[in-house]
Amino acid sequence: MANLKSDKADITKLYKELVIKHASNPYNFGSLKSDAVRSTGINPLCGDKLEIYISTHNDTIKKIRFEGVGCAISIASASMLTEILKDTSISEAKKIAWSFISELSSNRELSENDFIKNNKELSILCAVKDFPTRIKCVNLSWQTFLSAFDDDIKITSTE
Amino acid sequence: MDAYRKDFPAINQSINDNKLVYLDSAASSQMPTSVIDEVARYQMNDHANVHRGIHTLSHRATMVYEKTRQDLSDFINAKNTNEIIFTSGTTESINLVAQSYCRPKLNKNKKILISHLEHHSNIVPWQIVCEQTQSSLEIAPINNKGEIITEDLISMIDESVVLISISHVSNALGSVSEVKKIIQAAHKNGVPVLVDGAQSIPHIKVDVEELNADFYVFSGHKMHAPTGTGILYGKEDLLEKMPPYKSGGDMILEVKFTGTTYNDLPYKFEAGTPNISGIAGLGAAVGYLRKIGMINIESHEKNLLDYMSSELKNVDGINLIGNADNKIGVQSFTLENIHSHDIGTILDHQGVAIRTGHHCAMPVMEFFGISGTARASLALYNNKEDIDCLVAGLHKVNEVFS
Repeated sequence: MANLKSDKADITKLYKELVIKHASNPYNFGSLKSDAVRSTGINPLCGDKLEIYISTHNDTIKKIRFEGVGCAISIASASMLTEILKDTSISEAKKIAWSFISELSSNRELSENDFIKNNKELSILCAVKDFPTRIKCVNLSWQTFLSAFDDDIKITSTE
Repeated sequence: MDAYRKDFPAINQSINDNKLVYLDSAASSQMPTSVIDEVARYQMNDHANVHRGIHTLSHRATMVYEKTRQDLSDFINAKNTNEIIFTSGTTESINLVAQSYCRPKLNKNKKILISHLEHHSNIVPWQIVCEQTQSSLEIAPINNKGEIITEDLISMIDESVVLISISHVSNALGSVSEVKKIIQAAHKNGVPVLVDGAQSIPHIKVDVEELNADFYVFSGHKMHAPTGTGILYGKEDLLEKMPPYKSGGDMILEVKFTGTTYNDLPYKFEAGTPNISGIAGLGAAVGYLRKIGMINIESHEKNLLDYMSSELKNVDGINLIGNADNKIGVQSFTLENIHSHDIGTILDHQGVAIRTGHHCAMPVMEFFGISGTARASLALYNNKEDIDCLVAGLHKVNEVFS
């Protein structure tokens, strides 16, 4: 009989401290008009679907919004993404997204000046690493954001 | 029935510092010690290939393998062991029938008839074979309780239907289909019926002769046996006429470069080395179920499901999905404004294991206008205390989201 003491983070704490705040009233929820880059992300395992809209000017993200259906963790993660990446340069935003996605699948110690370590909400969200079945929920919006800058993505423009 | 609980080592453990409450047996049921021991005994003593060697170990492996076939034949009341084909699971059994029985008979004027209630494994193999043959796939409707509308299904039967394939019990909702009535109506039109028994076999007594099913398919891992084991029951006269599905060793009588003679039933459909240790375990699982008695299991689970469905109604914001008049094994539900994966995670934190999402039955979810449900499913080892832990867990979910 296995009775291993659990040293995992308390998931209910993660929900109460962070997830519900964002999921019940997410930032930047909705769509953007047709001059924005639009990227779709789907998690086929659970049927969650997100659309991210990005409007840039001089290589800086000026507006970023998202819409879709998903669990509280995926909605909260998308909400945080829009707050964090708004008003950053595209290259900086991509760097943050890559860094966060790789952080979720690694055991490395973050350096003191790492963006994630210095962002209170992202570092709390990293607790999801203890719940491997839910990492994809957090990842979905960040991967969707990155795929917006792939060559294959459709860019609709009125100009 | 609580006396049997101790037979299942996996049930008796802690998860996240809480006692495990396992309510996901519809996905995979736990194995009793007798099954685990039989697999280990086989691996330690008899491991060899079947039907091939003349040495003692190969003989023993063959004996174990063929004894399970006999046990299964008795368990579902088949006429003889030629009607029991070992597969890797329900999915492979359905694919076998789709490609071997149906494909040669299908053309642009022919149809396969299924229902809206099916698991993806009883949808996609038919979509593929219909595409291969330009034939059509017809879907019988369900009602708001989550039941196949039997009369509507029967009215869709005509001579252009090559096969009807329906689940005995829905994996997403637990609805029991009126398979006997459907089979009678189908046979009047000369149409054979495949019954997907994956969710019925661990819960109720299945008698293929009484049902008069032409094909009956199920998986070992949902009846307390190892994964990677499954059964295709087929009436002997149908199986006799079907060409092999996969080819290789063990399914041949003689191979020459000018042509090959196929082996007799059941070996014609069992190419390649099978999952012998898994099948040894499946034999032990059948023995275990027969020792307890399917009637006792059915009545225990019926009481428990009634208790679960009525206790769940005490949870704020709950909506029970699937309210069939005749239901076994599972209860699906949603909580207002809370995604099923969040329910699943917070329950898991309390040691309660349930399934969340679309349950490989996306058309059923679409019918109810939802992306998924939380599903608690029962097995013989569950008790009322498990249900109480589930309900307490759901109160906690509501509290976290309040």
